[in-house]
Amino acid sequence: MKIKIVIIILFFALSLLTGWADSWEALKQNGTQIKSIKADFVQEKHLKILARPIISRGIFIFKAPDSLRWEYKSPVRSILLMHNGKTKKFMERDGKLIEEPGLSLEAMQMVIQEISKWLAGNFNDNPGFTAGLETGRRIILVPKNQAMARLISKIELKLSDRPGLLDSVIIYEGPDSFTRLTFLNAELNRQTDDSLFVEK
Amino acid sequence: MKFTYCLLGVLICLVSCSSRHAVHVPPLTSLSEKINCGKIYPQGKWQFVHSLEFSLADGKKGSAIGVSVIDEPVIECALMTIEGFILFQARYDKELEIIRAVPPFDNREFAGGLISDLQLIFFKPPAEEIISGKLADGSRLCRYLEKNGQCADIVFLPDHGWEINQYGPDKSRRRTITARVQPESRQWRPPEYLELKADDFSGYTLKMTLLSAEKIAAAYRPSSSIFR
Repeated sequence: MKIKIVIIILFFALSLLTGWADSWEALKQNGTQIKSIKADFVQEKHLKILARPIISRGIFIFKAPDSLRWEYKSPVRSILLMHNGKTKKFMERDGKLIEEPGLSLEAMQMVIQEISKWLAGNFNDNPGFTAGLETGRRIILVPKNQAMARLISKIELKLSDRPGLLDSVIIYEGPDSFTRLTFLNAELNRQTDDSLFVEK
Repeated sequence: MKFTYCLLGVLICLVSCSSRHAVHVPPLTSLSEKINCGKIYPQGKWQFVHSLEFSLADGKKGSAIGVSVIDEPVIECALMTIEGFILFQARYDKELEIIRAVPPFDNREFAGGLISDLQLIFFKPPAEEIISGKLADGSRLCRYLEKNGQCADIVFLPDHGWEINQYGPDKSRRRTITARVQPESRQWRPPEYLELKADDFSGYTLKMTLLSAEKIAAAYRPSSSIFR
């Protein structure tokens, strides 16, 4: 009987040691279980000339397979919407949210789009980046293309201890400039209406 | 990249486009007393973060975040998207150094124009002679006259705000900067809103809403801050 108890304890101990972020396969498997995520985010822009980072706050809502609402609440309101392959962006002007015509995706918006793929567990699918899975639930993405490397030198993802979630994303533009996105108050797999991804 | 090219076009017009409706240097009545126009300018080292809105007469618009760190005569500036992506970063200390510039911002014409506008906003205009006076509508002003015939008027508005009008050697107006400030206080406060208009065919307007201002002591340590 004692041996059985020891085996059971060992089994649980081992299951705790083998996390959801130990292999690309485990990450993909967990990603498929994510139906939706809602979380707050804090964006810190660090730049050598800044005495303090510029702090922006907002919310993001993701619904599988690829719907995303990325909304800045402060200091300037802006909403990026992705749904059924269409992307729209709204910016606040004179107190009103106005759609940006002819939206062109900047490098950072490309990263935001990538987040929806990461939440689906696809971290190493982008042919433009070399992905490395490191200890401490960290993933490092390095651009393969020289043109992209001039815009973004490296992306560092910190995975949460809750399967399927990201704690933070750090986008390095160069040695003196990086942007850290930290996710807070995440809610998983709650009922999420499609209108959130098409209406401002 | 459509947005960034539009933004660049707009900003290049600031330095290169010719006059559309020429407004000339207005006559003034000289005042014997000196007006302290230098009080509109920050003293020492400051860091400002602004939300920027650009627009052209044809309706084209763009938005960005602007960072300016100024310590006369040094200017460090960065232009970034709301997502934090740096489009342009430069430093001016007698010479212009472009630190980072993503196409289409990677040209010196744009960089030079941006630095000139920041100098006009944050530093006293260069002058051989300064005249204090009054316009026909009663507004008090200082006129900064340069050797080459250029001049700049700093005009105090009745609502505590101020306006800078810059004129070229041909006496036609090139730029107008209008500032909205909080009622006078003992401590200098940065304008909460600035609007720059170019007198050219582009009808270019730049609206700058202050997001934060930091007085910086030596070695980048913020000594006081004004957050909106």
